[in-house]
Amino acid sequence: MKRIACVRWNDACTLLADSKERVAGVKRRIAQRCGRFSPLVGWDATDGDSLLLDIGGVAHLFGGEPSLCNAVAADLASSFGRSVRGAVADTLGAAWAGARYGFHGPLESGSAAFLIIAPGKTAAFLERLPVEALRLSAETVRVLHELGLQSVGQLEALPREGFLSRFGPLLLRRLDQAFGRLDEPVPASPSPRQFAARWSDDDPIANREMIEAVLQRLVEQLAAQLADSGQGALRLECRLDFELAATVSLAVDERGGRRRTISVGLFQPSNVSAHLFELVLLQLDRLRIASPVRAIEVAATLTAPRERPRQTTLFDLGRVGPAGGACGEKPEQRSRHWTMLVERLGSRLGADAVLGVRLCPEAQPELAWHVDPLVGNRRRRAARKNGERARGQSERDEPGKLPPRPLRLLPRPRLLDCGGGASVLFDVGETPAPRFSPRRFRLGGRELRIARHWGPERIETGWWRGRPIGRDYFRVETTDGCRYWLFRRLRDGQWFLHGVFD
Amino acid sequence: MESRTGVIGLDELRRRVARLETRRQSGREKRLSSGCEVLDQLLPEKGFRRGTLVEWLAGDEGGGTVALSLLAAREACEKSAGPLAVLDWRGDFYPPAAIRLGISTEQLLLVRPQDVADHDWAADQLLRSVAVAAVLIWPRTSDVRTLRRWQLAAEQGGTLGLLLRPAAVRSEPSWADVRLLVEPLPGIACEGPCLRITVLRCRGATAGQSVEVELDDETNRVRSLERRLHVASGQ
Repeated sequence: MKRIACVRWNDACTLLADSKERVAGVKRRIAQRCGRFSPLVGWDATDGDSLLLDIGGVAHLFGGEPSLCNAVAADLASSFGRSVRGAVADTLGAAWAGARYGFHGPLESGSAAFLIIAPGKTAAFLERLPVEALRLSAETVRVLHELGLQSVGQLEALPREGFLSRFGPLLLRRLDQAFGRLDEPVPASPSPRQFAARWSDDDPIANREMIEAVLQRLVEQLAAQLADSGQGALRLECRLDFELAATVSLAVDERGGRRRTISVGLFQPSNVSAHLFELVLLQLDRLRIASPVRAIEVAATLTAPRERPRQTTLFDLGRVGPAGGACGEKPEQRSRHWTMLVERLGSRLGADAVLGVRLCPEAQPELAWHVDPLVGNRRRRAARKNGERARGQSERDEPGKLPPRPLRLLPRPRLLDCGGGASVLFDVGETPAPRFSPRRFRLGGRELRIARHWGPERIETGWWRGRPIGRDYFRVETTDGCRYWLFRRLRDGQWFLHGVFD
Repeated sequence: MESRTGVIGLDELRRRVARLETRRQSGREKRLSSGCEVLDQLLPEKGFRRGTLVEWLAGDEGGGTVALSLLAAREACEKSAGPLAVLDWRGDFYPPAAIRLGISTEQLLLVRPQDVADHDWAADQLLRSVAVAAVLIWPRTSDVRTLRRWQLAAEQGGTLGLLLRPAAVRSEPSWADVRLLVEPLPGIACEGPCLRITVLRCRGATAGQSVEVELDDETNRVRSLERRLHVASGQ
């Protein structure tokens, strides 16, 4: 049975007010120390000051949960001299809520208190708590309060359908995680750089070929380390310390020299040294080496277990990718080509330039889709494994269900009546409702006359984001036969060009 | 591989000849429909050949050229079971519209290079990859060498390269297998956009032939306008 303990420091603020590096160091030490109580210890990602321990199946080793909590509190107090409060529950969300909102009034300095929510009583406990206990953003909490929703119980009693479009996926996810309908593992505390190889010399090297040779050797060492532990790199960092200032954009290091870091993201975990080295080289080729290099470090900053070649389904290697087989290539061969292509592209163009696409359930056209970087992205891989994307998307993927949309959408709608006088004319129709339709508009110095139009398609949305929009969209065909997507802003009647049916 | 002295080895020569012969023999098998039946009829291989470049020339924006090229891309994705890569350097490509045309999110790769050098390099890499079915490119250069490199890359990867270019380049030399001009046809009472597609250049076909089609917004299929008008007048 799953049991999670959450521990908070009463003076977390003082801890966090410290310098970033110091806080990170303290946190790492605390997590390492608590490794004696639980096999899985980590810090909550939402607030960063709650320590989480997965104590499922281990509490009896310490004489039960109360004894274990006392042992944790005593150990932390003796080691770090801080008073703590915490909670134990069936889910991470409930334990977090208990540690933060389960106590009334401040705790005496130097003391410790733990709230133990009995197994199976999580739902009853959560329902009494305020909505803030769900780890939501302040904005979401504010909107929920405005809607008169104060407690988790009230929220849980409401139908779920409207939540997704109004609050996005996070609210439902948090609710499901807290009540145990969606699994939420303890985020393992990042271990110090385990996979790294370093070279330094008193005699710096300036020759590019020598730098490449050193890099190759370091990458080989790193790949061997990764291979030994069955891991593959998802992100590589290669740090070059220059003797003198190479370019002004480089950060100054502690010894007054300059440092440049090359970051390489991978689509699939890899520990093949030749492949990793090729990716590093793609970036190194673009780097101007204007001064000698005195140290080089290569580290795998994000790793994942190396997958065995056991692809059985079409898109086993990623959301976007080839199925293989049609060109005479075996599926696994094509998948390998695909992986290498994406990684090469990501290495040279940057992770933000190689993107997969997914649709979002949003009426506002510019928000109806989302991009995900394909390289160096562990979240994408995890999401794929959990089959998260399947929900709510497959229906919208069906072409027939989507309304007509232009293939080019301007990043910002272009105002059509800017200084040109009456460049858009309207037919103001009969009662009961006035009818607006454009006749002509001016674009790029040309006047385009509208021969036909379809619409309006009214889109009114976004009020919960604080930026409501109200637009009447028209598909128009000019006398030249070209088609555009215009809208009339309901607020002030101004006309905009938003897309081109290219 | 040519040696430094310029002498080609016998084995290499054999490989090249075999490659040329294979390409000819399997030309029909490697055919990809253009997604438009009447256009297929104009092309000698009844479609595009895999591993070639196809140029789509258009006059004004909004003429429906990209939609037509995406229908060809859709066919390539289905046949090759690979993704479509879109080199969206302008950043205004709207994937929901492509999805509406029948290309699934899983088949769509968006690449956004920052500068011209990265763009041309990425186009080359994508065309060269056997894992990609089709690449949609708005070339940022008219450099013949770059286009030649892309053509060779497409041939190597067996990828269909769809190049969207302005009509102004119609007099420029091309390395594309097929060059098409797409013009909107105004004043026809059809729900979807009506277009005239003219074959400006195609190996083995007479240049200058054209077809008039309607792109059906609902079914995402292309209908011959001639037939449609004929049926209408027959009624």
